[in-house]
Amino acid sequence: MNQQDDELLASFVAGEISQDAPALQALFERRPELRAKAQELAQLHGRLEREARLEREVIAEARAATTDVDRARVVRAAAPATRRRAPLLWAAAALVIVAVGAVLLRQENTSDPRSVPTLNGTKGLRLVVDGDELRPGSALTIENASVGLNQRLRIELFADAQASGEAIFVPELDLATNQHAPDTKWTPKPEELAALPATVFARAVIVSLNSDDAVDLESPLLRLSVSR
Amino acid sequence: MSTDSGDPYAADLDLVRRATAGDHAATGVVLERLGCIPAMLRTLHRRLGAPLRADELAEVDQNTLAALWSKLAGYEGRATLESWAFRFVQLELHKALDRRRRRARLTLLDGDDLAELSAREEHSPAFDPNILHTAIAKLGPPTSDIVSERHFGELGFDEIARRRGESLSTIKARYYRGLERLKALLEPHLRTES
Repeated sequence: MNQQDDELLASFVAGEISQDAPALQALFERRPELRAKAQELAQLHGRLEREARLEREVIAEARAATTDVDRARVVRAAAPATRRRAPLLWAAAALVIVAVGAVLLRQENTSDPRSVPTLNGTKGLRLVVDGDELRPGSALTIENASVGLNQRLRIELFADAQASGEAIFVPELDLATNQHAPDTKWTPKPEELAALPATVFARAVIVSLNSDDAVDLESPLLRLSVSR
Repeated sequence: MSTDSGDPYAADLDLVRRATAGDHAATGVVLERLGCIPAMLRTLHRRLGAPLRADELAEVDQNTLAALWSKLAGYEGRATLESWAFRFVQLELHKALDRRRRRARLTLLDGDDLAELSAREEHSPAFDPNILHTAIAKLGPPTSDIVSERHFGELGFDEIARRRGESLSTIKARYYRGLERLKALLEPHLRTES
């Protein structure tokens, strides 16, 4: 076969010409063994097209369906790769653990005993702040926290890749066993705010102490501007 | 993502190189673009008939992200960043489905379960995604690039020819010969077309 024949067969395989095209008919008459082979390759071309179409459609659909929770999960998963480069200050300012132990028992005593935390319901774990801003003196408050003795409660902060252009995962600052912080509020200090990017994602989580800090429950993410 | 130069993925390759070198702004862009990975997994899983349980799917999600980040530095710019990520999603999902099939076959199944298993296998793609892309890579450049650009880069033959500075005839001939070799490479792995 020569390049001209290959070009003609490629046009057929890719569906640019039909098998009735005179030039192709002439080739098949001259080389009848090529007919079946070209048809097989047309089928392979079709399969590749379907694979590629699936890829394009899934990516397009996923882009439209991506949530802030998805983005935060990807940022978190990237943490081991980016953490090494994160300034120590980030680590220090990163996560604030608000309450454990006695606090949580106190919460349980004051909360509705029938409440079952849900992610979206009114009884779910919630993180509340005045306005959409994190600023000196304003508190992040966790609501509907019902935490067992083998669990602990945290506030986690993530850099907002989209807004700040810096997607450094903010690693945890583990104050989980701080029994002397009997509160479900965190009021950031100016120096803590200074270490944060212009925008952060914040969420409250309840983690299990028995299964490698697996997240048992998480609040919806809050997107907050950081005001210094 | 696509540039008008010869290499349609050069910008993505440059982005990833800067990100892996510690450029925070580039890292931010990479993370933003790959933020759709969990949604990709959900979408693909649904299209395959949603065969996995929620906990199995969550495991695939974790495995996908772990595998992808550990190999980010190995991104070679042979597809868009999202397409490259999609293949991790596809691969991890199919590994989970294969594990499930193996478990199912090792279990005594009643007729209904067998029928269900067969029905689910019908949702499987014609190729194992890993084998397909490995086979295309085995064609070697420039043929592997032409096949990838034609199908996964959505470029027509004339556009490929223009970008590569070669004649349309040459590109088409290379494509045809590439398909011949690809068929031979894939033949042992092809699943029956429904």
